[in-house]
Amino acid sequence: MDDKDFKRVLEDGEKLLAYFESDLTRDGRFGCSYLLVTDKRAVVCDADLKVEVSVNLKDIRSVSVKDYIGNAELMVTLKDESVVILTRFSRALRKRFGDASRLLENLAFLRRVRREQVYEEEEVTAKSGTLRSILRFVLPYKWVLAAGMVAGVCGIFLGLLPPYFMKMLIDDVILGRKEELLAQVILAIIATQATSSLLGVIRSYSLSYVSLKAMYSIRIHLFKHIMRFQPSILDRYEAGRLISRITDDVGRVNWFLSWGLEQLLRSSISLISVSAMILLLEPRLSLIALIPMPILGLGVFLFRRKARWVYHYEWRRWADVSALLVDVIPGFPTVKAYSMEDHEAKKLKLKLSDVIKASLRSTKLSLQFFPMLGFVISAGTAIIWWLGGLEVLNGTLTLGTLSAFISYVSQFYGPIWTLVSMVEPMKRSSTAAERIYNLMRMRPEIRDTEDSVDLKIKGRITFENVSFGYLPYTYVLKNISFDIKPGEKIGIVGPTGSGKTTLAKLILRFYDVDEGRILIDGVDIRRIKLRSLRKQIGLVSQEPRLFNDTIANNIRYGKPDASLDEIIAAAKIAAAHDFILQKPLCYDTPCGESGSRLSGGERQRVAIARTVISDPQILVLDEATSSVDTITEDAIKKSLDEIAKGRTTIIIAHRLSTVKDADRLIVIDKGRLVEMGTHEELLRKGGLYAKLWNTQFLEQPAEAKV
Amino acid sequence: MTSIREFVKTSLRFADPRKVRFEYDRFHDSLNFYVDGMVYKNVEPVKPFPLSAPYYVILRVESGKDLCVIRDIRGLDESSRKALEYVLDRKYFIPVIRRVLDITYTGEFFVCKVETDKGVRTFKLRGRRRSVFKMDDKIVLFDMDENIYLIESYEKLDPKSKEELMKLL
Ligand SMILES: Nc1ncnc2c1ncn2[C@@H]1O[C@H](COP(=O)(O)OP(=O)(O)OP(=O)(O)O)[C@@H](O)[C@H]1O
Ligand SMILES: [Mg+2]
Repeated sequence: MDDKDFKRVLEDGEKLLAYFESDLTRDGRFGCSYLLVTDKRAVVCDADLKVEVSVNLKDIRSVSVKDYIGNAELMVTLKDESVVILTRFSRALRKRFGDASRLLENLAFLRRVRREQVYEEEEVTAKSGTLRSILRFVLPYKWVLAAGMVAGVCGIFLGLLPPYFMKMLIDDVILGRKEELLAQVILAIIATQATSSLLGVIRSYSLSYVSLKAMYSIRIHLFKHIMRFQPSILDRYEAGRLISRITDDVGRVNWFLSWGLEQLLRSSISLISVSAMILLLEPRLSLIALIPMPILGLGVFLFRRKARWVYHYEWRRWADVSALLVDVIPGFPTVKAYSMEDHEAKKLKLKLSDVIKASLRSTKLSLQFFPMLGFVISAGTAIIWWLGGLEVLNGTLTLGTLSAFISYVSQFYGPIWTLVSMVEPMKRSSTAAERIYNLMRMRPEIRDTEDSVDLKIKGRITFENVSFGYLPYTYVLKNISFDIKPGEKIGIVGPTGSGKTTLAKLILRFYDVDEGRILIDGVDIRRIKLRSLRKQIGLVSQEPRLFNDTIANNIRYGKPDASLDEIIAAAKIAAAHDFILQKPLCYDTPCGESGSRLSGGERQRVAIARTVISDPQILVLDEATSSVDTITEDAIKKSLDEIAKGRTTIIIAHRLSTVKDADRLIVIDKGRLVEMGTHEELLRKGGLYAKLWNTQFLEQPAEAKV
Repeated sequence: MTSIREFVKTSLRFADPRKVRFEYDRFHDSLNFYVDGMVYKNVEPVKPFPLSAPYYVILRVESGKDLCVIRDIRGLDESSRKALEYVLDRKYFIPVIRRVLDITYTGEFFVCKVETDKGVRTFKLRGRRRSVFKMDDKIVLFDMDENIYLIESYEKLDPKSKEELMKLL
């Protein structure tokens, strides 16, 4: 439907700004309805464009989206406090109506309208694109692939010879008593076998080579591609799913490249050439060989229709089992702490018995099908023996021809069998290829543009009316503005969940702001090269992750070319040097998987060292010392102060003693900046900060006095 | 603003190995360190990077404070180096594996028989994840009793040893 149709809903001189199609009607049935947003009104109409609600923009006080189960509503509160429900929509359209709500809000408050609308990339797949994108990785090895294919095809043609030699052996040598030919025929048979074994080796090796190389490039390519994304990709794709793209899905495509493709080609070629041989050898009998074909065809058709669901069902049962294991095994200590071993075992039992049921179903299905197939084929062969036998007895057919024919017929059914059993894995591997292709086509939302600049950062940070939310319509930060001077030391405090970490992530541009802008040294961060930005901002995050490497290498992560002296110095700044020297291998001690062999506080200190070694111009410490005792924290503070001179430092902390001597404190509550000033100023003001301080001071007198 | 490079200068003191001297005092079992006409008795040498940079040594005094850093102890004179290494070798007993004679797997742990620079030794390793650690071409093995064995270069091992090691890697 294009804009024209909406004209009749509009009043004179009214301009349509946007329309949003919903998938539910206002009375809660599946169907279509529209929300039109004009420069004057918000209008809701049904599929026939009958107006159901109309609200004047200037009457709107606030806009909200309420998230229910299975559906959600966009509603407005008017200035007279009445609430009007505009549209209902299923959760699939949350993002679309999140945009709608923001647009309405903007219009209602006469703010600037950004007319770009971002819809989620739909997961459409173009088949040809999928195949091409995979073949792209095979292309560099096309000659090896060709060699393999040629060897394979030659092998097939060679395979046609032995039955023919057999016929000669029986008819000419044995029955025809030409003894002089015996040695030659036997030699020919041996030579053919030897050559085809050799060709087989060439074929298998070159195909494995190509598929391994291709898998390697696909995996590396995928990995690099994923690494280009902003961290928020983990909000959309769980880590597990991304990992399985690189491992499982690529493996399934591998099946196609290393085995499927070749089998497909081989089976088709041998089917054609064997058919030709059969026809040439004995046209009458070949008709009999074809009798089972329609039955087979019907069988395959029926089987495929049914098997698809049965097999998919079975895979999903397996997926459930591994999902459970992936969830529970890393959470093992929690299971233990709650003594829930039996509970978890019960869950697993349930899932596994589902697997058994599903597997039995698919077994039953193939038991219905494959023996039937086998029976039809052997029946066909028996009939050939019967009719052929009669002809041999009648002397119209030689015994040699009959046995060659039978042997060709078995070669004829072989490829059919292969092709039939390949149907399912083919499907699986093409689905995997589609998934890989979809991921490869996704573009990172946050990326450098052509006019991105390298900036030598001095350290001024400006927030201008910044609003941001992870979900489209819920704000986590709302209208935040402040200006941090180069070299200033800023503390950010606020209740848990108030948006402090989010603010830090925005500075590193892990997410883009929804409204307003963030400037560094007066330049919008969306115009700064990502690398340049992130290299000069050091973030110690709330839950620092170390890698499974030595402590030294983890520190070096912040500066790959760091000298040993620098590693030690960085550790000293983070007050980590002494504990590291206590470890058996000091700086060469492995940290364990994601740092699991270090304590929480030790991990935090290594993370600080990793950050300070890179000499960042802006230092952001998000609860960086929360797991460290206060005496150690003090030591870190002292040395940090020394190196932080001249660098902008942002310290996020719950423990107010950590930040109290900052130049300025920013207090955030429910995503809004509520107070800003020095410790003394804020105490005098008696607002939220004073309240927080007093609670902590009363509860932890010893600490607060530090 | 202090860069990390400048911070190195203020936080670490470096001693030139050619201008310092060590003496081992057998009676007190202590190491004495002579620098700039001063003598520090009973210094404790520490290798902060015992595997990746075994010649980098920090000297600590009894109070647990770092006294100074010697970046490469191979620059010391003969007798000083002997004195220092006598103390260090006792502290860091990390046999270097020359040949891997045999590795068997019992289903629970690996039993390794190796020839090291300190003699032949058989030890047990728990699974691969916790007890085998690769650093570039080096391989470090932690046995079940937390002893440490080092393979200095995997590539330079003889083929038989490499084949045995494949069971483990
Ligand atoms: N990746 C995410 N997706 C969706 N919502 C998120 C995400 N990360 C955080 N949130 C939500 O955003 C809000 C602010 O989170 P944030 O981590 O910024 O709080 P915080 O002030 O750092 O809290 P704390 O003091 O506990 O660390 C919270 O309500 C949180 O649930
Ligand atoms: Mg936080």
